[in-house]
Amino acid sequence: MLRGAARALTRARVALGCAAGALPLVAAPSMARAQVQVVAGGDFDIDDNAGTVTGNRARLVGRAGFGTNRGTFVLVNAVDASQDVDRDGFTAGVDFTNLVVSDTTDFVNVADPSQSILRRNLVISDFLNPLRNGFSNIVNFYVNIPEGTPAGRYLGRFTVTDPTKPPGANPNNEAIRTDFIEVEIEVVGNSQLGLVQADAALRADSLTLRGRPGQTVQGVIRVANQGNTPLSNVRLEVTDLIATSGTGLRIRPEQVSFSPSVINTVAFADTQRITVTVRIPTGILAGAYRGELIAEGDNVPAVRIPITVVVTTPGDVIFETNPVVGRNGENAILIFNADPGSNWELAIFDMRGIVTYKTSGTVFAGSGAPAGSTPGGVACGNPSSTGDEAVRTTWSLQNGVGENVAGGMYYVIVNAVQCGSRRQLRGKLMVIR
Amino acid sequence: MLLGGWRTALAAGSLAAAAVACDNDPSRPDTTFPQASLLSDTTSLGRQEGIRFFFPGGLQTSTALDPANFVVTNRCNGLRVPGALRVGTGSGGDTLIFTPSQALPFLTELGVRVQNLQGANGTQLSQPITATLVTEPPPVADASWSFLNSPTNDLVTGIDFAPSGLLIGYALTTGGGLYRTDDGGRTYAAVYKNVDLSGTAGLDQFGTDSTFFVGGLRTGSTFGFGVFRSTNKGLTVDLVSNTDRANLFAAQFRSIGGVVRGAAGGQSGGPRAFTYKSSGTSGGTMEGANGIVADPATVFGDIALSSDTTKAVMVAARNTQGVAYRSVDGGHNYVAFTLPATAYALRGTGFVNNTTALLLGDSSKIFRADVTTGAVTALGAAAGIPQGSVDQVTGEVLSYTFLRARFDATGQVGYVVGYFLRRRPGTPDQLGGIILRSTDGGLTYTRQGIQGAPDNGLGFPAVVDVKVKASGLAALSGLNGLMAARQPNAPSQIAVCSLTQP
Repeated sequence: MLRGAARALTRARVALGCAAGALPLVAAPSMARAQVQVVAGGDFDIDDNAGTVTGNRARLVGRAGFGTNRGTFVLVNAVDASQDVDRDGFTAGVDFTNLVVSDTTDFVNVADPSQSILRRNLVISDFLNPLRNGFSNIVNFYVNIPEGTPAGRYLGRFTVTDPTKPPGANPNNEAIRTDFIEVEIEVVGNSQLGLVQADAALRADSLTLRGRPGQTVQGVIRVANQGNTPLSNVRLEVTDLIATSGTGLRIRPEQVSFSPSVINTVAFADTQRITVTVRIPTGILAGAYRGELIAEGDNVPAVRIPITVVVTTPGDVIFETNPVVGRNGENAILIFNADPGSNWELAIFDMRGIVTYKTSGTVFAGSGAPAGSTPGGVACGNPSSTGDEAVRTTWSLQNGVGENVAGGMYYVIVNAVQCGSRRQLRGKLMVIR
Repeated sequence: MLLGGWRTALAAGSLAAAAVACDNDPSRPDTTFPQASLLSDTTSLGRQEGIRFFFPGGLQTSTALDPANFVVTNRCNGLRVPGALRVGTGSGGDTLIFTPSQALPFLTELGVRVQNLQGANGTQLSQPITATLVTEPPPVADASWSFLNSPTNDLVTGIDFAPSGLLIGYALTTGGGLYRTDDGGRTYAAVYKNVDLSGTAGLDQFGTDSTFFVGGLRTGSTFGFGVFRSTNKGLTVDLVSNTDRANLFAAQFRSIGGVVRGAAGGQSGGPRAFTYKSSGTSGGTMEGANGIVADPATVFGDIALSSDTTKAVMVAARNTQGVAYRSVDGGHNYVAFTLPATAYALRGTGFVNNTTALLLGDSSKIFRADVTTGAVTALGAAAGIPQGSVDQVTGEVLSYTFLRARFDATGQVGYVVGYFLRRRPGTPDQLGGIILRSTDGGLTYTRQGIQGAPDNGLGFPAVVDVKVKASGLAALSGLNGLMAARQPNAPSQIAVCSLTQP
């Protein structure tokens, strides 16, 4: 330590009648060195400016949940004045073999003293002993930073003593056989955003809502601050929710809203609830509509999870475009609900009631639903179904023999099975030539 | 009126009847959508490799290049995989290719759905094409080892755990530091250090309190090697037998009936070997072994003692050639193995069971040796042992050296450890560790990694010691404070979806 030198310096200042700080510093070493002495029982020191220690303070840096970088301090057992780094005494022939870290303070957050890293997280990773006379020991140490430790600067100290050679005082009344260093830890900030289930402390890996066409449905999810610095400007976004059946139908992001739309701050270790509201469009077909729910904030990586809206209540035939302009080369896209694995038939009549076009098919069954399960797909209450719940088929505006059909109104009739019941679906399509 | 007309039409009969009654009876086109085939590897897709479907006859590109029609879902997180679509046109048809925008994690399960396509002949894909693919596994899919919280950056020459409980263990550094854990390796406490003790190696632990190792002790101006023992949890260490005759570099100790026997080896005018036998509280005795040629050009490598303490093996290197000795009387008398010419410098050894030992060395060499008969069998790449290589273009040389083998009491499960050296002109050498695991008595091996290590679990320091306990726990140590353990129930293969980072 430099305490001995400082005191000597102070005494010299007083004796010389100098104002504090007016004495040239270059005089301090020689004046301090004049105080070194042989002390009874020996002395050891922690070098104030060796290893990673500067000015009796070691500065460490680390992230919450990990250890800091390694700090190093040097224990010195001086055999003569030239080795007495603290200028407070030395003794030849005295070894220290029972050195211990006898007192460690908690490492307290400088800005918020209510936060601290407990003293037990100090790890001395090398041996203190034996510290032979005339030798020095280089000792590595670090501090484990518990997960969730807020970012900031923390300050503490630890003291080394030898219980078999208790601390004493030299003739200048300076403590010997005990020394300490201060440890300053910078816990670096780590911004991390997470999504948590609304009613459980579990990570949310998806959000699923159910409702009928035209209905407004809501779900709640929590955004969590999983880092150690406050999060700001946290918000949710959503992509298009696209039908998993490949119909091309989608629920637009405009149909989805969030309350609150923006959270100004999510405090450290806190969560905030956000209500997700989906206005399911009228006329949309039953099925699962899947997209991505994206949580974002300032200076934090976005978190994405799947969001699924299950639309129940199968609908009638709908058309991707209606009317269809034949001269532009458009095709008519017809979409309707049908159970996975079921057969369907489609016929298109002209205004005279004559069949212009007909086709049939089987709905993609997926990997199949377990035996005895509810008929139909997800929309019919069969969550294990992996098949399609809708059919998208194309009519090239030609009749069965490959001739372009005339402009006018056409009637579309579909026989399909919906949630286990056979239904006849109807629609009208305008063809413009 | 339209509605009325429609109803009239419906009233005319069923849908099928209407169709039959029509003069211009429509029918579906004769042509059908081409039968697509998946060209990609479904079990080991490259992490950014294209997913390819071949469509004979071709596709209408407007539907083929619609991103909505080629849906790739990461089934590990449920999110859609962004990527690019392109169509490769050939003579026999089109190849539709989806390439992920960025590399996917290893072992990611992908669900692929291709839908709503139209063929070049105007036909329509009636049902979606689905497929499940899994991205390739990492180079080493078995990263079942976990780092222990090492207390030091020194070379950890030895590590061991109590045979039961798996909580209490010791680690030894080459500088004479002895560390102890009582929480299964989560934390190690420094329990013993003597600045006059160095070159310590060959740690073996018996029970929870006793450890044996070899090392060198400076006493005044003399420096003597010997066997050291601690019976009080490492609080004190006694020099129980000092030969003062030879440097000791390695040892293996066994305990039978409360008596600890050991084989220790080192160098003094050539390789030397000794036997050790404990003798209660008074220490023990060491005897020099016979039969080893005193050749200063031969450098000691390693020594091992069988679990029944009746056999011992010592390996060495003479220039680039391997030298090995065997003993069938507990290490008192040795005879040389007759080694094949391909037995380059031998560096390590270890017993598989009471008759079979492994001789380990440079250039990926692992030999199975019958200690009773002296028969030696070389193992090679077919046994799963990684082989060195020379890249003629870059000049890079990759070599593997094995340093130690240890097997469990059944002689079936064991490990061979060592290091690899990658030397490339103009760049610093890269030295790393290697772990091989055998579950069939040392006949075949599987490379293993350590969770959290760089390079997909392979980027860890050189390994110099490994232990296998009866419970199945394994622990290893090495350079730069390396300490790691493998729990008995650790899964041997990384499961699909267990990796999340590309």
